[in-house]
Amino acid sequence: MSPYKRKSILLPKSIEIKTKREKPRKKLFIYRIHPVYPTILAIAIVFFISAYLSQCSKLIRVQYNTHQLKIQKFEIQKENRKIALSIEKLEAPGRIEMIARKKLGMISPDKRIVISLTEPASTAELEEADNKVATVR
Amino acid sequence: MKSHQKVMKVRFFLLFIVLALCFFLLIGNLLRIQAFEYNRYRKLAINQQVGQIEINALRGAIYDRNGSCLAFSVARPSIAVNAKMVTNPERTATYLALALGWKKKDILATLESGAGFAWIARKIDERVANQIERLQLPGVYLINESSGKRFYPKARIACHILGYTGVDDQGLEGAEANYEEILAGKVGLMRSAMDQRGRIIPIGRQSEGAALLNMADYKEPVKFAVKLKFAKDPVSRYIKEHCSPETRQQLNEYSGYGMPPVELMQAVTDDLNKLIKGPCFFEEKRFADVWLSEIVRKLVIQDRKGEELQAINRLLIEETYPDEIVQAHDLYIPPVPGKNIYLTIDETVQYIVEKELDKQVKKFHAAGGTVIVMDPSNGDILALANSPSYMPTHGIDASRAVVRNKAVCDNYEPGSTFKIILAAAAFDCGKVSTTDRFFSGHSLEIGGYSLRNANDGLSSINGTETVEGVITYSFNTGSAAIGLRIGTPVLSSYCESLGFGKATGVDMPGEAEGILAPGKFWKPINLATISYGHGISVTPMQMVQAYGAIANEGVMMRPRIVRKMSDQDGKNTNVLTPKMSGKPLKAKTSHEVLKILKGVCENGTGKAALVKGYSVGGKTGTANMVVNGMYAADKYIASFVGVAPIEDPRYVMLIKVDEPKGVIWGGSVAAPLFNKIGSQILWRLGVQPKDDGKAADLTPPAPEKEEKEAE
Repeated sequence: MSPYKRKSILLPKSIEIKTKREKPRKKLFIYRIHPVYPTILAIAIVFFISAYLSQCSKLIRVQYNTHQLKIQKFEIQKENRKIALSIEKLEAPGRIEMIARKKLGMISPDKRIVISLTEPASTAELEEADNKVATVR
Repeated sequence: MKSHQKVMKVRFFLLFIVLALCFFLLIGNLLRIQAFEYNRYRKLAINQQVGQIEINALRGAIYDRNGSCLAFSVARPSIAVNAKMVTNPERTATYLALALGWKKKDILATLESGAGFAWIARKIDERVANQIERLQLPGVYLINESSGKRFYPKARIACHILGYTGVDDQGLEGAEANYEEILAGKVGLMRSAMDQRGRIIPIGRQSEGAALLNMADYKEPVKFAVKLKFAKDPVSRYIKEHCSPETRQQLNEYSGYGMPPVELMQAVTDDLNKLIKGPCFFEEKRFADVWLSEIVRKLVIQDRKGEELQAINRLLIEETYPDEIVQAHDLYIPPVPGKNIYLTIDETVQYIVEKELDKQVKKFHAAGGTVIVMDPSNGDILALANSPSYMPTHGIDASRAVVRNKAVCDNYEPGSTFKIILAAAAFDCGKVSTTDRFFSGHSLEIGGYSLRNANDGLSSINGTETVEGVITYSFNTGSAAIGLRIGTPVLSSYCESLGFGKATGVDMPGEAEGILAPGKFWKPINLATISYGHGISVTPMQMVQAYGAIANEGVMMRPRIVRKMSDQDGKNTNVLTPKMSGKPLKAKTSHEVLKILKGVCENGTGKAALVKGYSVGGKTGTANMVVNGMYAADKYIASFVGVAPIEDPRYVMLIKVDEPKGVIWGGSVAAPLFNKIGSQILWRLGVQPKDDGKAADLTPPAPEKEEKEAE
């Protein structure tokens, strides 16, 4: 029975008991949201923001690393060129001649003999030559 | 109690209002900075952070024909200073002076100048640079210059061919200067965010379209729109012409006052981006009134494509409208390393030639000398030496007289070596045969002048000689007689066709053309004197080229010193084809003249040039030097031009010794050098000796006494 319509059933009409009524609560037409959902939403937003920031910082870190690697590569290439230069200096003819003369006691060659080699005769030619010799004998 | 609770509630409410206000103020300020005034702060940040660096390309190396390195660049650190950051100039100058070995006051002047950037020392030794770095002096920085410092690992070898470079790695002489564009490569540019010390912050990679304009790139949109509307300068006219008709209409409708409509600026931006994506629109006339920076001037002449070309076009627009358009903050045009070049020089042959030339010059106390060795079949210069020489590393400090490449720059009277040219012309034109005889007495009168043979004891006993006899014994009178027989038109025409009076086209800077008067100005006396090599000036290179035609069956090849080029990683090799200068002689003529050359060495004045085991030929020459237009009585040029081996010429060698003292004759000064050099380089070139069925003794000439003592 509604608290607003309290009718006196037992007592006569003339006697009405006035009681303090609580103001009726207005039913607000809202949905009750479970506190879990906003929490999950907040966590999701924080997660995505963190993921994005993490990707950004990763990208920057990769770029810094790439830059550092480029610098390292440049340094190694520079070192390689310095070594190549040293090799070329060591192979200078003037330096080699000086070492050959002063340290190893070498001198310019004083004799060069070239002997002309004739091609060896074939077997048939040798046999013919032998036959000729036999005939002559 | 109730009133206390009420008060608390009010206070909390007020606090909440204050905090909310603060929060909204912050949000509002953030919105103002990030959204409403984004452009202004972006421009401020770009102005402050964005720096531009010109990136020099690594210079290409120079190799000899066998791949031995003759010139090479290695990155070297340089010391720079930001004078504003130097806290104690006196102390800094003292330490730097000690480390560099310089005077303190020179460095102090730079430190006290207040400049934001100044070089202290360029491309210094690594150890010195490390010492300075360890000192950690404020305001002093080590910068690794990408272009590097030039080194010549073989010291003086081929110094006149290689030349040298300046401090900024630009070629100043020789092949370094002649092939500057190929060796230097293409300069690059990087524009990026940098920290306070100028180090690049690599957070902005070159994204696609970094060079394109967007609406946020206009510093002064009103000024820019007005400039485009009225198009008074050539660049604005060009841009307006290339805008779409709709954009031009909008520009015409724009009044020129107040902010231009967004649609107009968007349309202009789109059209400008089309221009940026197109070919390079730089033209000297169009940009005559625009102050373009040096780096942009270097970039516009490069042949770039794709995003690099877009970056260059963007730079052109920025420099044309510096007040109106914001600089792009993320541009990268990579440098293109220089190419390597491979010379025709053989390092070992060059070394032998230089060593022997220096010894000969010293022996005869001569002022200097020149030797050129050329392969006549393709014009390859195997060796080119001048004495005195210099260290290319210190080329800038060497005197101009020493640095000068006498082999191509200096004219001289060839003397008797020119008689071979006369013989070739005489046989080739058909007016003279091998059996014809010519007067070769001691003197000959022509046009009131008396011509005599050289005072060397040789003169024709019979009074006449064949062409072979005239050349073998080097009779001036005989030569004049031959010249008079063939006549001025023939001789002058053959002189021109054999390359005299014009540059050979060899790829070395500063080549002289010699002096050969046109035939129509020759008098009989000129014809006679030119016949034996006087009254004409030639360069050593011209003589070698002409003899090369004689050695190569009449085909004259253009001398060259570079045979191929390649990228620094060895790819994209470009082998250069030898070029023919002409075919001035018939093959038969060349054979006849080679026989004469052989006779000169076997029977005539060139006996000292004979190389054991090989058949060689050549012609000696001795001529007075011309000083200030007059013949110097006591100064001579001793020369010899030879070919070896005669049967199948592998090289032509010219030897010229300037102002020998004591002995002056070509046969005594220059010819022995042909022997000394030839005996070594024929062996080196792998040339087979004469095969006469016997063991050939190829014993080289005995070393000089000084060399023996040194050993």
